[in-house]
Amino acid sequence: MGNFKIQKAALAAVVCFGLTACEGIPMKTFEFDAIDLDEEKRAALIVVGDGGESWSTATSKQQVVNHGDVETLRLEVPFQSREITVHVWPLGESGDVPRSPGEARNMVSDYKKQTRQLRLNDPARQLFILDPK
Amino acid sequence: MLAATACTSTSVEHFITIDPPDASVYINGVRSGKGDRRIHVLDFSQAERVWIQAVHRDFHPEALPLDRRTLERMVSARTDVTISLGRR
Repeated sequence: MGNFKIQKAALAAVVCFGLTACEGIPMKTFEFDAIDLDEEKRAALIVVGDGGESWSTATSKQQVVNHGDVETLRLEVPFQSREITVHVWPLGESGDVPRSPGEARNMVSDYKKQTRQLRLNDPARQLFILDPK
Repeated sequence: MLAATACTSTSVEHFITIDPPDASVYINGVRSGKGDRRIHVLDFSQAERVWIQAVHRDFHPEALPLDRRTLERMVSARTDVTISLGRR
């Protein structure tokens, strides 16, 4: 009887630990890159999610690819839902990083913005092929 | 074709055809040759979907995410993965 209680307690501890471990938001590290139709690398801003917070995170953390010393961008992404939205804003000739969607829309770039829905179990390398306007 | 397509526990080999055939094919963000009808290895060891992309300077690029179940159905039905790019 005593052994049974110990086993039960041990099982409960294991289940409890498992549940606690599962409660955290799943994270995945992606590697983002962007090229154009000539398969040449293009500078772009990577915005994960929608809304102002996503933009401030992207700009404050300089989530850019092929810009300055940065080529591909390795970024750890939280999955609060089954899919997350990734927006890729091509940077203009000036290379300036826009601070808001409004500023990005007014930015002079030869390429269109792209959006992709990613899942936790998608390939880590995510290449965006930018389409000219 | 049956002899040419094969499945292992982590990958599927299958035909991919791009129109136009001189487009470049990228699988999971890595260049994998041209778009003429040929067999490509689609690796599911690290992911549940593969992303197939095609690019050509005179056409709009396309990206196609495919899960393993869909791909295996295409293998069974002897249907190529086909992407037709729209002219710019």
